[in-house]
Amino acid sequence: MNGQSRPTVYVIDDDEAVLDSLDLFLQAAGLQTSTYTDPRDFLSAHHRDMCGCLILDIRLPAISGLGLQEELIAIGSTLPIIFITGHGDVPTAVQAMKAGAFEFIEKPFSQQFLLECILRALELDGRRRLAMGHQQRIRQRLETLTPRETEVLDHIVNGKASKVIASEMCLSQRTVEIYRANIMQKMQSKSVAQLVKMFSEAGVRPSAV
Amino acid sequence: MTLGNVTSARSGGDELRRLLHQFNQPLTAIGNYAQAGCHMIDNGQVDPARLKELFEKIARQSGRTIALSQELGQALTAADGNS
Repeated sequence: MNGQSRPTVYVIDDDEAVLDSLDLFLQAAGLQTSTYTDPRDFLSAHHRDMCGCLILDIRLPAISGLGLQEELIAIGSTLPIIFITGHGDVPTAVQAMKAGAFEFIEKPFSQQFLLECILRALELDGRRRLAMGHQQRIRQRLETLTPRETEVLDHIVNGKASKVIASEMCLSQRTVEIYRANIMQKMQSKSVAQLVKMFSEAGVRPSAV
Repeated sequence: MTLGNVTSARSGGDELRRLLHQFNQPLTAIGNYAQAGCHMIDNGQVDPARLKELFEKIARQSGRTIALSQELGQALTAADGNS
């Protein structure tokens, strides 16, 4: 979440040689890895601050790859998943992609292609986490506002002028100006334009927090 | 074709699919090990002991494909016998 931990490629495959070889290949390519033969071990190790991506064999003994994907979504995991399958299984691929899988690769695969997929997945995860961190900072700032200030802020980001806000909230324009100054200070924003940009980039609504 | 032939042809197909899946595992591992070696050399990490370990692993996986290839041959002979 805070970007302090290094992105890791988590690999789950029940074939030990495939797992070991992927581990060595990815490490030699400069990536940090963490490998599991049992998906249940990954599930118990999983926490929301894990960053990177997941390479998942679709055929696993204890839980199927799709079953694990479902469980991960249920516990709020946002790790992009690259599925690996032994042979062309179109219905499974469609199901996995519909559930939000990042990519679906058939075994045996080109290592270069896998590497490209992983790099794209890591980039996506990094971007998502940055946005999440940004969102969290805005939420923290929003929590410092009083209910009245939140209401005024909602009007401001909707493009209303102080005069209009004053009339709608039955306040004097001077009071609205004071609220506005407090909001700007608490939200660490220098202008209304910056404030609006802050919310649109983070996809947060002031009154929704 | 009798019902028995149809059943054995289907189970023969399943067996071949299973073998194909099995076959892809060491094949994938061989590719991964070989690429790992290439990356190590490209990065100047030329440690003979580590490279030897990689070659041994490749040889072991190659042995796996040889065993599977023999199994595949038997499955094909069995399939010929049923036709």
